[in-house]
Amino acid sequence: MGEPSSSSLSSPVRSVPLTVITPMPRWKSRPGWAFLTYMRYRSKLHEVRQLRFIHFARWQRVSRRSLTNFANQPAEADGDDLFVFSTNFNGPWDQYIDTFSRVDNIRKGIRWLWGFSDKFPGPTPIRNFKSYIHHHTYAEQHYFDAYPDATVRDIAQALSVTEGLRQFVATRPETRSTDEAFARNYVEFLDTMADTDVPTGTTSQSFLTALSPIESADSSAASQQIRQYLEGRSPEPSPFADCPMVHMARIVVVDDLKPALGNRNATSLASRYLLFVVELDGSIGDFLDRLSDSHPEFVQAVWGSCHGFPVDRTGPVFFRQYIESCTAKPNLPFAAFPGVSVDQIRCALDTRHRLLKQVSQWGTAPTRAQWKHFAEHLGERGHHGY
Amino acid sequence: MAGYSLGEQNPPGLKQDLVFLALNTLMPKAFRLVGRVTPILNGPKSFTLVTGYDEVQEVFSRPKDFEVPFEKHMEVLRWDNFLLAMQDTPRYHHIHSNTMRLWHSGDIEWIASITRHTVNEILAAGTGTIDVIQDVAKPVLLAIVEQYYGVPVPKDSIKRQSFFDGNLAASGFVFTGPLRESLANDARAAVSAVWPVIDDAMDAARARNADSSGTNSGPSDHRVSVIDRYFQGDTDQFTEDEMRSSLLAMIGGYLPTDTNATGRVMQVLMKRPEAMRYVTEAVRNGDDDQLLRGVLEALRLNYIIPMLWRRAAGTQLVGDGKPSDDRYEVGGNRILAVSLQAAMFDRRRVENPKAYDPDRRTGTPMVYGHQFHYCVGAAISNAILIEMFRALVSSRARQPADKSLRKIRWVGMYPWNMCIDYDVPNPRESY
Repeated sequence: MGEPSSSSLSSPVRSVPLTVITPMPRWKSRPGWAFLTYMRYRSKLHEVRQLRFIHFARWQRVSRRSLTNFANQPAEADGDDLFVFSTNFNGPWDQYIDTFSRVDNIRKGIRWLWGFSDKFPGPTPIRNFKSYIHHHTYAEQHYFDAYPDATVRDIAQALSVTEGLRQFVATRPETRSTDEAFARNYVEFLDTMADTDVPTGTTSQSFLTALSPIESADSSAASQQIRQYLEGRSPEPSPFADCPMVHMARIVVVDDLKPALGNRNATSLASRYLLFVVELDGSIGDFLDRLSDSHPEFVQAVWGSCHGFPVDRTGPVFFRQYIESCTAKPNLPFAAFPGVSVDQIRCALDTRHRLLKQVSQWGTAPTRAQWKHFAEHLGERGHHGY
Repeated sequence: MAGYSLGEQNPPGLKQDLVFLALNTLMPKAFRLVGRVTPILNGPKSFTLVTGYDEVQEVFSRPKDFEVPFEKHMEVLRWDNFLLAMQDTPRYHHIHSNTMRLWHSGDIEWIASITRHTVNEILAAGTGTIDVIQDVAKPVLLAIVEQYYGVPVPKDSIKRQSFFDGNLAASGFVFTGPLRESLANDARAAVSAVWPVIDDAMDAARARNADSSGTNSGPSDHRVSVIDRYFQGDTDQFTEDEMRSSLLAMIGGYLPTDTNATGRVMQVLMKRPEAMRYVTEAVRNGDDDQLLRGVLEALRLNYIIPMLWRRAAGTQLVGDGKPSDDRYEVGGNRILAVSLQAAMFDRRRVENPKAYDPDRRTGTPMVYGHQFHYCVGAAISNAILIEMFRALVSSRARQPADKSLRKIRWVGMYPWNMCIDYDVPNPRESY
């Protein structure tokens, strides 16, 4: 534990998760929270968006006192608060961390964001920064990505293409008087298609972060069981695949808050926790209902042995109430494509794929009849109704 | 002999207006108001009001902790094994599974065709103004009882009305709340107009199927009615008493609720142009899912009953899954008024609850209940609502031009007379 997973170090394309939890001394915790809140409302994180390789990210301060305390659960002693950073990115881990250190504005932001964490060395020198991130990284026991083979750039391009296509189709180019006139319009469309701005969606997106106490820190049976269950089921499709509103989801067993290197006086957490992080469309309650309705055995196996989980109950309301009790509000969430739903992203990727395939088959411009057939086919599938 | 008549016992007047005001206007508003302050209110006299979305779902999801308090009602009605009055016991599940086997989802198309045929015939025979409750919903629902259930309802109009009214009154008696002796005699009279019809149907079906040559009682499609199916041995684990009881459960559970629902949905469609636009578009597109969403959303806004009843079996904490400090204690034996109606307006879960939004994404609609005692006839009801409203909407159902006909007459919670104007369809186009 503590090392980035091997896939995150080597995979060149697929989105990979990164979960970093650093200790935040209590005297820095409140200013840290204030800074994150300020950033949320003042900064649009334009620089991060321009990097075009982060799907989602969140920076979140979790006060130790705010951790849910169920009956029979050891109370948390005073100690450092938790600063949770979770993200997913495309490309190699090294390159990702390098960007944090090397791009001016990002470096400045990183210095501020982690500046409230204990013994943060700063983004430079890069070796120290990487060691710090390495040390505080937690391995994901389960990770789901709704569009695993698409990079952020792929999605941005697909959304642009879909929007360009929508505008082109709306002009009904097939009604031009001749095939030649249509061909001219078609070539113009191809030339300008990639320059279309990525549209902003209207779907409300939610960020769920829940920390459920598994068991007291001096025992490890339940957390071990959860690990084995999650890691043992890895070839099976993720249960989140049946929740159409989920963009990304991860589950992490947090055995303790790792103290900063060199800090010998850190106070351990009294319990082991299960960190549940999800980025989704719409309401968190509806997502939890969907998950517990479609995969009650998964819910039971993962959360069933956690402190405070309702035992022998049937019905989505109990899981919903439980997770919502363990929820910490994200302070600074980031989405590469705000308001764009999972369905829209998948449709856009599919549209782009079909269009590229068709364009290469057509070679030069298609005839008006060919184009009409293609546009109608896409329309039936709801693909250019973005 | 004069039959049992709910309408005659509750003539229009100040008393009915006040009952309507209390049940259909003040109570829902008060419950929603309470719900905004607290999802559970422990009131005086061992009475607890539950209005929160989560809390209502939790109470219905814990049937052993929150029992059904209708034992005395069932004694009055001489009715054993009524599903909605049963606790969560093996016996309940036995009755439930056998009921589901007899009234199964494979019959939906048959039910839809009976509804379609009946409603179209009624509209085609009309004059352009019709009472949606007495002249559309009632005959359609009774046609289902006769043809699909296989229970012949007396042709005599007084006895027929008595049967219909008896079901509505018995259901009202059960769901009005803790037993009041003043209502018991009326309930006995009401149910005495219903049991003989069911017993006669049982006797006739038994005789008909004695030689295992049961024939259909449906129109012309050789389908076997539920009661014939039973006597042909479709559920050998169901005793005759249980079957008799289930018949009343499926009639007494369905006639009143569907009648009530039809009137209330139509009321929303008449009041809210956006609702009428939505269902009209659904009908025009031939999209039954959209039509059903539109109808059920109208029902959410104008729900059939302000509350259902439960009793706490011992002291209970509501809020399972939350830390102890966030839970609500309900003392043992307290009677809970559980308001699905208020829950479906709970802003903690339902976004913009007063808006008519059939495509709303937040909150599970609970018009058919939740978890334990979830409506066993939901699929049947959906099929009837789709067919009935498709016919009414495609005939351009609208407020009567004659303003004196616009007032809806209510009997307690039930819309009783509700006139609409419509375009008389051409029979050749209708079928």
